[in-house]
Amino acid sequence: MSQFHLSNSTHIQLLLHATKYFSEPITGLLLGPKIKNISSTSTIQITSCVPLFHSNAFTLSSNVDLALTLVSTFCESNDLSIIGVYHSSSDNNSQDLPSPIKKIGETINKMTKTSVVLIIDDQKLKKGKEQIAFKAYCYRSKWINVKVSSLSQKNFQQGIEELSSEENEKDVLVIEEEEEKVQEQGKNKNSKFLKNCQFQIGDHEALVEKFKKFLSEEKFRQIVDFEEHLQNPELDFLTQNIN
Amino acid sequence: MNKNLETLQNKPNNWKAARDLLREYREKQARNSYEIIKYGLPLINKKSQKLSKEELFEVMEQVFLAGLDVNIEESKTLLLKLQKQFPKSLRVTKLSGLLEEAMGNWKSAITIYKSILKNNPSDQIARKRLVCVSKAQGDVVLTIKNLNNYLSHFQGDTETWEELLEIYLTQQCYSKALYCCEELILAEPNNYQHHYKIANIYYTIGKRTDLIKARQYYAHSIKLLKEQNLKSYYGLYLTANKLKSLYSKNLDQSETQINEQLLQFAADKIKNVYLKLEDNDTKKTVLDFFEKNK
Repeated sequence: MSQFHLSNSTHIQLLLHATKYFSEPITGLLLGPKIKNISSTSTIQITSCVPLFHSNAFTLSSNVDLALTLVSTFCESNDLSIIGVYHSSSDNNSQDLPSPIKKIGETINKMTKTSVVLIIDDQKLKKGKEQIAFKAYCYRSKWINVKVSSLSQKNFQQGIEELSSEENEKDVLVIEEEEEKVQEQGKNKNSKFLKNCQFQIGDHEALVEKFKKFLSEEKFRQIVDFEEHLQNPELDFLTQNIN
Repeated sequence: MNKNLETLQNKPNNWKAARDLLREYREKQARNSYEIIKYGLPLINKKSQKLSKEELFEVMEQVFLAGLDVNIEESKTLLLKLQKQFPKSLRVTKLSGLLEEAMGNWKSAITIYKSILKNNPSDQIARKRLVCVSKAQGDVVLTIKNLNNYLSHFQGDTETWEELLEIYLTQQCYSKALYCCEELILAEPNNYQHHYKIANIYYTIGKRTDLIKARQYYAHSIKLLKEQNLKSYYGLYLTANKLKSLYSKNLDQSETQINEQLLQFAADKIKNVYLKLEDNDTKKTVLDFFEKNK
């Protein structure tokens, strides 16, 4: 079973990017350690992200080509790979995959032989339900919605382990909830979860707590995306210093 | 960093700095909602006697608008105060429409705007808000229809052409977006942003003739703004590079030469921008890239 792991620090950064530009669509890339041989059982780590745009620039291939070129140069010299792309549309009505985002994802798939798209909806965090604030799609010759589940911090550090202990009860609930939704949408083949692919994140409760703390400290101001860099070249968009 | 903002971070109770900061944001029409709420609310609640009446109401309106983004309860309170002060004001009525929109009460918002238009058919803001309501509801087709309808009355409104352009982009209707962008260039021929934008669209369409046009428009954008225009230099580089790699066979000798010159020109300009900067990962990456692609 192939797995994606999203680190909490990256997760928070993409939420902060969405917070900084809450009224605009945002786009960015997901990076992880270099993938050498990919197999159907690989575990792919996502350990950092590069915020790119806070406008419709993602629909224009000039902007996208430029960003991908620079980020892959950065990856080469730092032993990293581009794993995928994240996006949040400014209107929360649309939850589906915009086709320019699919195209970026497919370009990444050509480069790294794997690709994941995260569609963020940060409203899910605000309403007090504190659900996981994105949907994950994985590329298997077409885009398929994959399960997102939260692991407790301990399990996350050890790697992949069965979800069995009591403390994970809540996390299992999240999965079931997602599955119910899929059953509702059962008519639509594309929205079916891919059974042999999973997307995992770190301890979600800890994440929500940390995110709230960062919000109160207004850390989102420190996020710099590529578009800002083009306006003011002094700003470093490739390394985000947020702790 | 902004002087007033700096003062406020050290002395959050400095009402003069808060007043000046808000004045500056009003002039720039900046949507820094978090800051406006953070420093504007104490100004209204504790220091209102320090401001002139006119300014106090302007600040209240400003904080009301910021509240729609950040803290809707504060906006409700402020609106009540403003309505009490100006029961018949058209400006305040529009604010109540905005509040309904922010709460997602589309129907009541539409009712408010339509009633304004009934008495003042030429009210541009109400008409624009109606477009925004359809956009917020996610109805792309209706939004495009409304925008076109609006533009048939007010052809010179560049803001609306830009809005329509952005919507066409989200729908990947590039040729229609091109049309909007041409309108913008006609209206504001000296704005480098429009030339940059249309170049991006031509690049995205991406056939050989389009790429040549993209290259022209990037060059023109640079002609209009030679410094502080990094994105156009990047665009010029990228386009010339793409023409070289995809269509070098179709170009005659003089064309190849021109393309090569432009490529070199853009690369040099970009490198010069970065060489002046302090060391960081971005600078290193960009210089690495040009080193590899000499």
